[in-house]
Amino acid sequence: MTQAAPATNFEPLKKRITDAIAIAPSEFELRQLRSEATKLANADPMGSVELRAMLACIEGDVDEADRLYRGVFGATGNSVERVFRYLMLLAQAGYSARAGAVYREFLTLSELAPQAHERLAKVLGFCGWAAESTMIRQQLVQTGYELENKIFEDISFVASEQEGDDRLPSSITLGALLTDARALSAIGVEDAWVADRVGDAIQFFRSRSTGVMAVRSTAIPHDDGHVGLLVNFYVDQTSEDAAEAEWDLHGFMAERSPDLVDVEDVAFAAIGVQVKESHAN
Amino acid sequence: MPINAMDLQRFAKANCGPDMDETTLRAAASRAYYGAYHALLPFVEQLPVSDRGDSSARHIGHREMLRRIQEWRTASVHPRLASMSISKAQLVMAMRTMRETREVADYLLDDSMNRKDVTQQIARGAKVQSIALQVHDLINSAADDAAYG
Repeated sequence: MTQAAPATNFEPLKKRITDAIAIAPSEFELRQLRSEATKLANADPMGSVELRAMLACIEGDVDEADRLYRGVFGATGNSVERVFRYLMLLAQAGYSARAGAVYREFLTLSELAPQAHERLAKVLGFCGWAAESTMIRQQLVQTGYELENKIFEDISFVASEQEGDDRLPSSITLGALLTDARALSAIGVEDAWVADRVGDAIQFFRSRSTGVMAVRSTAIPHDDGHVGLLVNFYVDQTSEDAAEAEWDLHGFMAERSPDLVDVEDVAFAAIGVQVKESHAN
Repeated sequence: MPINAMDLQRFAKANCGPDMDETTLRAAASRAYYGAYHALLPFVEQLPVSDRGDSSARHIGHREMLRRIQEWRTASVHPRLASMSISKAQLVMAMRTMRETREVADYLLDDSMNRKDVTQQIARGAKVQSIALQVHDLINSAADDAAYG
């Protein structure tokens, strides 16, 4: 249930801060946003704290963000809408492990509406919690709920808050996700391991001001009997730029998480979704 | 008539147009992978069999190629290759990504694959082929050095 927000500058400021998550804003921009968030304290004290939590997260101080959000939850009750905002912030900033912990602490599946289940599955999928996301979807389907087989509107909100962003390939649909805990086990990894590395990758893209619009993990049976995991990061770039970004991502991950190179059947890919076409044809 | 790695890459590019149907796009994604595979093969053939490889195997399979690159025992090929530790990790991960995408193209018919996925696979393949060329040039420059003393 969405809490009635006071008529303040909260929403436009939240939008500006949200837009800044995907990029690496300058110190000047951050100082300006911080100043405006602080000024909001008189009209909307909790809104002000939440915005400062978002800025702390952007600046990499996720512990401070957590402290501030917990303060808001303590003062106002942890509304589902606010918890989702925190989850999406963590997801977009590349703090996948923390997002998983926040979900487990503050959301109870049995108390959520079906639409919230689906929304949660999307956010967790974006963070790399693919098996958890798949499990939530499967449980939802078992109740007779029909999944919305459409673009990840929540997850792509870095680049666009509109539904059905046509820059995203049609393959990024809920129904196409195949990855579950059994598949990960066959690969020899766990959900948390993948999520950690997906978070690292999102932070890498942020450091280059490259917007990650969606993340999709797919378990793939190989012709040699093994199972592979392909994690696609849909980025707001041309295919050529995305190929360079992917090459650099692989170099970054080789240093940040060398075990990603050692696990033979996990692959990370960048898919450029910008309309501007490559020279491929 | 024999073909080479560049021919496969050219085929992939030529079959990734806006009017191509999904079957053709999938074929393009698959050929782009094989273009990269064959671009690297002459180099990988010079590397020792991997620790888990089968020394009696008559050809280098997909997994063995990646293992040889990952182990990067290049001393007998060219001493300067040893310094490419990040590039070899990048090469392994790029080829792994290409292979997984090829598996989707060839085997996951229930999944969908569109032009953006394939265009990316082709751009990725071009990157791998450029690295393969760099490695090739480096090895050949060593041969020239030796030949001319």
